[in-house]
Amino acid sequence: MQSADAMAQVLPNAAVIPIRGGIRTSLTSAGAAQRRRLADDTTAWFARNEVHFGVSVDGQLVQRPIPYDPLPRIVDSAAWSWLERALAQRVMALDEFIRDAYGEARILRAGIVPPQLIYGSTSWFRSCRGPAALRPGQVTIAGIDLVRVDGRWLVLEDNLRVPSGASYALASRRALADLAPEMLAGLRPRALGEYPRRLAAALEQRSSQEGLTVLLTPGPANAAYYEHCELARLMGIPVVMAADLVASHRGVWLRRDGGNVPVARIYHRYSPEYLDPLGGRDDSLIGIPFLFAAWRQGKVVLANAPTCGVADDKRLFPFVPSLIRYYLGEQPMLEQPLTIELDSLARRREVFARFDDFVYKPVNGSGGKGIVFGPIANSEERAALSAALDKAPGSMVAQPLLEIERLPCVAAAGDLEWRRCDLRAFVVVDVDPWVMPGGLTRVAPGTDDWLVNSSAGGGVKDTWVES
Amino acid sequence: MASFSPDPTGLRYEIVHHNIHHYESAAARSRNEVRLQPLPRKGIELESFRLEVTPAAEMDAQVDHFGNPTWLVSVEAPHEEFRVTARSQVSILPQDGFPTAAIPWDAGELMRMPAVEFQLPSPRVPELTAITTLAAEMKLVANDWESLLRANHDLRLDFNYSPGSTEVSSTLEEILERRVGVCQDFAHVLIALARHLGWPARYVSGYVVPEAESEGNSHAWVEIGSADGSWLGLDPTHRSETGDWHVAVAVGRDYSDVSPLRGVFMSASPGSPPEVSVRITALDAFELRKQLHATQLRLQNQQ
Repeated sequence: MQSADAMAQVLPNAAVIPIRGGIRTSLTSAGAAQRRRLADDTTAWFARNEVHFGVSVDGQLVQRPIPYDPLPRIVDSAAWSWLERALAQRVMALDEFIRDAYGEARILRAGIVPPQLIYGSTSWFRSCRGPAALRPGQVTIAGIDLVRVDGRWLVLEDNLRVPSGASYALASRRALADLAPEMLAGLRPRALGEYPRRLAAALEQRSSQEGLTVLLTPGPANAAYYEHCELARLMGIPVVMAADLVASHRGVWLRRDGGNVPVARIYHRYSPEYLDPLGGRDDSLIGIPFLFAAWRQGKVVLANAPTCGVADDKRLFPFVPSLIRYYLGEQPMLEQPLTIELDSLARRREVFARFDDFVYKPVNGSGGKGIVFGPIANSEERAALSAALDKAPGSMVAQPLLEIERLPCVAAAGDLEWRRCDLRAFVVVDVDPWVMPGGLTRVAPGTDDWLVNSSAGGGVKDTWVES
Repeated sequence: MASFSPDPTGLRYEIVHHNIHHYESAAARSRNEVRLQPLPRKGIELESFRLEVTPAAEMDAQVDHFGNPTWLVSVEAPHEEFRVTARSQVSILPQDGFPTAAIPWDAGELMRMPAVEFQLPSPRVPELTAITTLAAEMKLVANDWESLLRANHDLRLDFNYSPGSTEVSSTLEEILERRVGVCQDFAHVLIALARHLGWPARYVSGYVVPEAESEGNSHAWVEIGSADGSWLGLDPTHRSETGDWHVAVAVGRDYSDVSPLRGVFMSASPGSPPEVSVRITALDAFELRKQLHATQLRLQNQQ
């Protein structure tokens, strides 16, 4: 077995243990010191290269190297090509839904989703209705969060507003390429490096207009500012902030001393409601007034389109399998956990009677904020959950708590510990969808932790797809 | 008596709506959405419309999600004062009152676009237990047209009409608590009640044109959606149905969708509240208008 040999060369006595259906994980019985050294080296590499992610410490955002575990997750090629098809299917259906939600809303007349999920969604912007919202490819890049449970892949979340993390996947690979090239040479996982080129091409494909392509960042106070700068560098485009841009119904320009330069494509890293104070949230101080007016008439490309938020609302999530059946006429390939609305008192009582069997999620949250895990919730968290539901019964949903896959990680002394992991897969939609062959494996900070989110202190590891 | 042939253009009115913003320190540039152009409606024709903006601005007329003509106004030059004047000339053919038949209530039909959007809570009309209480107090019955008409007629009995008592930003909760308000507030309360009773309800901003020698003014009222796609107007401030004296400018879920001037300007200091004035002038002599009205109604009744 090629992969076992490759591992054995790097880490003596390595064993590759097949786990249910094609996923293998590197393990080693000897070489704790070696593992510790590799972990230390990679940690230093992340610090040296300033691969930062901001976390909140006492209410202040602190940029620090993202925690990194050097043992890669390995996915065999058959499992991966199945995932590629499954992810493409899901993203295509979500894109159809977005266009329908801004168009005729056929899905409402078909009675498949309740109208609240479109007209009542705070992420459905009336100001975005127009020709641009009907074009295929509202989604340029999707980040789909997957977990493995009993050997099956499940979707936990669709991220379509600002899916972040691709640069951390690229850095994870580069760290190993620099520090343990022999490991990579042995197994030869599929390369990730074409991601920036794929993303740039997808932007290019959306507009043939003359003008710059820029990356719009909310600024250094954003947790993923490293990623903004890094992706812009790799794509060869300038990083700009709101004050650098000016919009009108005729288009968007980059303000320069010698005169304004037309901007044709914007890869933005904003939560879309902040993009335009006249189209989204009127209290946005980082928005560009009339950006939506320029976008909806096709004068500028926004990636992702500001329409995408309507499709990654957590209340829509339970309906995604139905969307796949309705728009594509196909059976959904990926499974997903049951999502239970808690808006009726009866339902709430039923769920709370088995409180520990569930995880409770805010419908409009991200980064793991506000998530309550039944078995480890303290009385304060329980009280806060009840209070939130009393105030806004639709604000939280429950999902059965799943024992998700754990992968081996390097512990303090170089020994192995098993921590919960998910996989954020990146889908770039050009004419056809393309799935980054790897993605970002996110790792819970400790063996007792459930959350893998980077803003909750989680780390990352490389993801190897066998070629 | 001179013979009189009805003028097909109806009764003509000129509406001049001024909006003046002063900035303490000059605004470097501004972006604004202006909704001041009257909507063409049955019996109401927009004969001319002009939007005057100083300083010089780039303008583009678009139609928003609700079908309202919306002017996008971009000012690039630094300015200390921003002046928007809308001059409309409308002609109104008298209408023969309000349909008296009940609007049939059909949940299935109402679920269809676009009416369903107006059945959901909106930014200025959230779901409130105080509305449930008020509906119970007024003994209103869900899905019942008579109840809704009664709410329109009786709402003012429970609320004091008091100009200046509330502000544009007053919340529905405050209005219900204090039981005072102006047309905007009564419209929001009636919308909340109507939605609570199962009807799609939308907010209409516009003008009431002068009857007899009285003055016209800016106004706000409510429209109720029916399963056949039509909308019927209720004016809780005047405790009546709407008629040929209501000129609509914009419709939306509530005030937040129809504000006449919404904008962003770049300046070192905040702006002060705008000076707003509305002048509505009847262009035909009053006697002539009365005659025309009578003739029109006779013709309509003969049909």
